[in-house]
Amino acid sequence: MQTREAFHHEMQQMQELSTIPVIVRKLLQIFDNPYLSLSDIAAFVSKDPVLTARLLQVVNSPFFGFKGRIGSVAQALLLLGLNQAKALLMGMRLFDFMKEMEGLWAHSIGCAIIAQITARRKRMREAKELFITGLLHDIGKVFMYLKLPDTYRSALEMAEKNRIPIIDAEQKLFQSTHPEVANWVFENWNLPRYFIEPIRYHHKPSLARTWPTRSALLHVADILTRARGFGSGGDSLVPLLDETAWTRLAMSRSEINSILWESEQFIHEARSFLADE
Amino acid sequence: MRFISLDKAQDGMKLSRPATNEAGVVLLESGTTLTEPLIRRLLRIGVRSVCIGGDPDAATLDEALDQLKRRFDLTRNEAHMALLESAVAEYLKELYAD
Repeated sequence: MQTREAFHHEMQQMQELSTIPVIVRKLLQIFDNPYLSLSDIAAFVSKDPVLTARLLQVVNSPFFGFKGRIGSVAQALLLLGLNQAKALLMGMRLFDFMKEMEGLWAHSIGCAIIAQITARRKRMREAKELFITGLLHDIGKVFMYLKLPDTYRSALEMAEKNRIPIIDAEQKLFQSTHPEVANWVFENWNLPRYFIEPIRYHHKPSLARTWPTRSALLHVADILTRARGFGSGGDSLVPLLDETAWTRLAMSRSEINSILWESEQFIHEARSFLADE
Repeated sequence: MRFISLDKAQDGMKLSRPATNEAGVVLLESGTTLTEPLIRRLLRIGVRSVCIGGDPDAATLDEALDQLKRRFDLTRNEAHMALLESAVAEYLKELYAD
C-alpha cells in the first residue's frame, strides 16, 4: 500500500497522466489558453458531436431557463460562462469512464438538480453554478477509480459487504477520500474556488470558510438525493446531516416535500437525455 | 408513479398525472390512455415527458418504503434524521398514490 503523500502527489500530476482521457486533457488546455477566443473554443467543442448534443440539451432544458432557445455552442458557452462550461463539459466526459459504477451518474444528476432547485428557493443567485457543483461533487470517485481501478473496486465491495459508507472504505484502502482527491486534482486544473470548496467539504460543510452557504447547500442536496434514493453514490446509506449546515438552510418538512416534487420530473428527463446515446 | 421521456412512451400506457405544456396548461387529463397519434401530437407540441405508474427503481410503494428504511439504518437515531426519513416517506406515499 502506498502512502497518502505519494498518492496525493500522483493525483496532483493527474493532468499529465495517461489515465486522464485525451478529450478531457484537451478541453482543459483549450479553456485555459488565454489566446483563444470564445469562437475558437466553440469550434473545438463542435467537433465532438456527442458533447455538443449534451451541452445543447443541458442549456435548453427547463431547469436552466433558456428552454429551446439556444441553437449554437457559442451561445451556450456565452450563457453558461466559460468556467461553468469547462466544468460541465469535463464532468460529462469524465463520467463516461465510470460506467462500472452504475448509479453514480444518476446520483450526480439528482444532486445537481436538487441543489439548483434548493438554491432557487433560497433565492441564491448562483443556482446555475450549484447545478454544476452538484453534478461534479463525487468526481473524486472517478479520479480514484481511473488511477487505481482494482483498489476502488475493492472499496466498493468492502462498503457493500460491511454496510459502511463508501467514504470510510476509501479512507481504509487509500488513506484518502473522494472529496480530498477532487480538491487535489481541481486545484491543479484551475477550477474556481467556489466549485472546489463546496466539493471538498460536502461531507464536512462546517469546515468551509469562504463559501459556507454553497457548501451547506451541496451537503444537504447530496443527503436529500440519497434519502430519496436517486442512483447510488457507492453505498445506499444516508449520511448524517451536519448540524450547522442544516440550521443554515432552515428547511421545513413541507419544503423538503416541494423540492422533491419539483425535482422528480426534471431528474427523470435529465436521466434520459444526459445518458449515453 | 414515474416520469418517462415521451419518446419511450408506448401505445396503451396510462397517464397518472396530467400531461402539461411548459406553461402548465393541461393537454391531456390524468387517466388518459396514450395512443400513437396522441404521442406524436405531444411530441410536436414540445412535451418531453409524461407521468405513468410506478418508479424505475422500485416497483411498489412497499418496496420503495422498505428501501428507504434500509437507507436510514445507521443514522435514524441522530438529530434531524427521523424528520428527514418521515418527510421522504410521506413524499413516496404521494408519489405512488394513483
